[in-house]
Amino acid sequence: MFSYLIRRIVGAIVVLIGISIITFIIAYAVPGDPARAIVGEKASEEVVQQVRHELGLDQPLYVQYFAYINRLLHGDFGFSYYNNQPVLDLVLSRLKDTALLAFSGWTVEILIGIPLGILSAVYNRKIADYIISVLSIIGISLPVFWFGMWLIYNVAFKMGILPIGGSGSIMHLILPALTLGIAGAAYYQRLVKSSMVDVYNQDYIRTAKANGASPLRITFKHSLRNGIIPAVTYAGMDIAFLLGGVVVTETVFNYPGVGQLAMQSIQRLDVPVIMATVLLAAIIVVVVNIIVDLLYFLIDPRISLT
Amino acid sequence: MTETLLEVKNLKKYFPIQKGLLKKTVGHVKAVDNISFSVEAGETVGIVGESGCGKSTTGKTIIRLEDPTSGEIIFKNKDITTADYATLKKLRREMQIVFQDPFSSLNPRYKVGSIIERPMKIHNLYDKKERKDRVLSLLEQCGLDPSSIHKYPHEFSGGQRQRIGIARALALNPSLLVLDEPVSALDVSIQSQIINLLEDLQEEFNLTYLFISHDLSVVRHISDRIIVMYLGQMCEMAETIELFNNPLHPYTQALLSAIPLPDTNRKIERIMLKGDLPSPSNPPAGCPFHTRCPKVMDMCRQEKPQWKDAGKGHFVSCHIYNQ
Amino acid sequence: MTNPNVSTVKASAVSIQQQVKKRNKFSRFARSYPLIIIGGIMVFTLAIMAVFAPVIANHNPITQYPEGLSDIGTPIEPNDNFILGTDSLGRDALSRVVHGSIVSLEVGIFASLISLIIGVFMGIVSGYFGSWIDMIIMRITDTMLAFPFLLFVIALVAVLKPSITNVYIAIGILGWATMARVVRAEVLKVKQLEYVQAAKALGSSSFPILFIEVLPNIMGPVIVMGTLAIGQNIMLEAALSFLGIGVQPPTASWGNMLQEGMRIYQIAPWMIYGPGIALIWATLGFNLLGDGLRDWLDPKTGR
Repeated sequence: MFSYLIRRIVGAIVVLIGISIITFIIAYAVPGDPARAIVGEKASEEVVQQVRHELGLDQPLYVQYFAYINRLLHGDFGFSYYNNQPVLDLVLSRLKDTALLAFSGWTVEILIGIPLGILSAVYNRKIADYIISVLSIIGISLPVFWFGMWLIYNVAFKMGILPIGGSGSIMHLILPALTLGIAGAAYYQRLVKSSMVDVYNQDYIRTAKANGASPLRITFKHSLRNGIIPAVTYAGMDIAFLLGGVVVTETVFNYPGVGQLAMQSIQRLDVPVIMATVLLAAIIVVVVNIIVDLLYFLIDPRISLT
Repeated sequence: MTETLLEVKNLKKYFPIQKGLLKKTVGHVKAVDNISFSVEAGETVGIVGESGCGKSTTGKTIIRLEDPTSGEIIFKNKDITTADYATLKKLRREMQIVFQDPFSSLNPRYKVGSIIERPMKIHNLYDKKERKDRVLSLLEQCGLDPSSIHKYPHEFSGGQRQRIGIARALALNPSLLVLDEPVSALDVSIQSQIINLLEDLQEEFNLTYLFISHDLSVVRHISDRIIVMYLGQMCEMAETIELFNNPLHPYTQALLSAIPLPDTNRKIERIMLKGDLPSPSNPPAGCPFHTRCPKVMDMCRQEKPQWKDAGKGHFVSCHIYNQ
Repeated sequence: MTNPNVSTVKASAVSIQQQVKKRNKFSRFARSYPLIIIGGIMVFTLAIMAVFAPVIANHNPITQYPEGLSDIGTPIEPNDNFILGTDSLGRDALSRVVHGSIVSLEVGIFASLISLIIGVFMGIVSGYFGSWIDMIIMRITDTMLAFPFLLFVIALVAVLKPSITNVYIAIGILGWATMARVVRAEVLKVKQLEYVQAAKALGSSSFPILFIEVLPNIMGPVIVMGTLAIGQNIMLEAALSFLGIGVQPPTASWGNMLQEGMRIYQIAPWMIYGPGIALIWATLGFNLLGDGLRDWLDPKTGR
């Protein structure tokens, strides 16, 4: 168990180093001259050179990389090229709203996906199951941003019952959370259904049935408990999916989170901010995945972590 | 007239057990532990033992599907223990293997014709027409219908599939054939057909067989000599008749007593082995069989018995005969 | 003497019988795997739309028609001439939707092909050779999977400069990790089968074994994943174009049409529906087809 944890953490560090290298290379490949971008078009070549030197941009690539890592380890993510604020402050000031949105999206996934999954497993191959399955595959095929637009037009604009965009209250959160969560809900539905149906076909459930256990008891006592395990593992993948969806959702709803910041920075080629957001997202994904693995172990004692 | 085709000297095959963060090797599974024997051209040598005794690994190591840990394999007077890729490829034409499971040993995606043709293609033998003729004649020799070439493996029964496997192994005209439990997965009624086929083919192509099986009664039919293995080591080796009439090692005696005999005059009391097969990663000290041996002595627990000649080509590794 | 007519009649009777047999077989297949048929038809219509786009569209997709704007310069709602209405520049929405299918299919198919080729190669090498090669490749896939995929693609396309080619290259070279995982797992299953050992014993070397013996036996999951990937990548391209870093106007893509729709939905809501429904049609079609193929080819790994 302990050795497993160590191994996972070492693996995670390797992954994070890989990610920092990739983001660094991408950032380096960004066309255009950041030094020129900072001082503006009118500045003289000398000033540009000086800024370049101050930023260390005239040094070899690997030196720049190690300098970058060194700064990261000291919590220094640099300054935004665009408005010269510390990147970390910029990101952290928006993190709360994004975390709130991601969590609400995840709540939608769980609240819609799991009950529908149970329902379609209990009524497997009956009309309710077919309807849910059709809805579910449509949910998976639904583009996040289109669904967001559709909600804005119909619910916010035409019916006027919810705000069109922005943040600040629960009301502001409802449409973005629905948008973000609907595809994930469809995944959870499929996952829960298929693993529960698998469990239904196991001998021990047949035994329970033969012993006269009620269908409800079978569902909640035996089948659901085992059916939920793959859903927990999926949560690890889900976090990466949610963080991607956040970028689109925040842009559609003009929601002032990290995703919107990332999108704006990409359009402005604000390299330090892009790198910080990508790195932050990766760290979150890696950490959540380790937690999920440990959780998985706690839920299912058959899994040995060696 | 007889010449030695294959000689195995002190062959060992250990599989490392790795553990922990840095994949540290914490021990070895001693699948084959110090085995020596030789096989004459045209002869059939049977290797018997319980599952997990290392008999299959011995066969696979000899034809170099596994790399030996140490020891020597001498084939046609050439040391092939560490043969490089090119030499090995040439060697493949001389030694072939037939596998146990007739269902997984044939690739389900190809028709039988191309399965049997494949070895000739790999070695760039013959032209297209000759290859096809050869496939047809191999099918016939192995008792299969010529129309089989257009069928897929799943259209055949287990016995027929094993015939296909044999035909494929013969496509390169090898002199040595390792038969790795070739009939264990088949119905008893089919087993004797395959054994008969193997005997016919041996005569026709002058083949040498290394016949691996857990079933002494199957091995008896076909083998000239038999090697009994236990936990990666050899217990006893003798000519078939000698071994059956005069089994020396207690393990061989136990195995023989388990065979139902048609000859009711001979009464052998069934010797039951107690206990489980010890793990080959941690074999008992001294004689590997001492934990289950009905005739165990103090000495067996400490000292490894010598490989001793009991006369008439009969060898045994047991302290009882060491005085 | 046999009458030649009789034999022809016999022959045609036989061929009719065969046809009937074939039809029965097909209808049985259709009943067992309805998703393949439904998804297949949806994908097929999409392909027809892309191939015959200039014939189907009754307007030029990039011409700004003066009659396509109202007197006050706003888009026109759907009518007989502009069946799906017009956009803010007076272009015909239907023609743009029809031509948008070309971009979608191009990106969807090429991006999937790129990740398929990389993923299969990585998975097969990693699964078959094992040891340190496996470890390195698996660490790389871990890294790829730890990224929020969409964010990563956005960043890469922004760096490469938005264009159709760069979009599918970026999606393709970043999207192979899942494929590699699946292929590796399949290879691990297949490589211990005896026919692989048999090929080795027959003198075949590693790469022929991989491509002749192993690859054909893992094609089922690969085809399924490839089909599903096309749908996902079509959606991804639309998202990129929607965010303004994918296919650039005036080239029609459903994503950049929706971007405009987002801007003008208050006066031209039809701009949400035309390209949106086309996009859902495409992703739904590939998802249904992929699910159906999974039921057929790969019944064990179904979700």
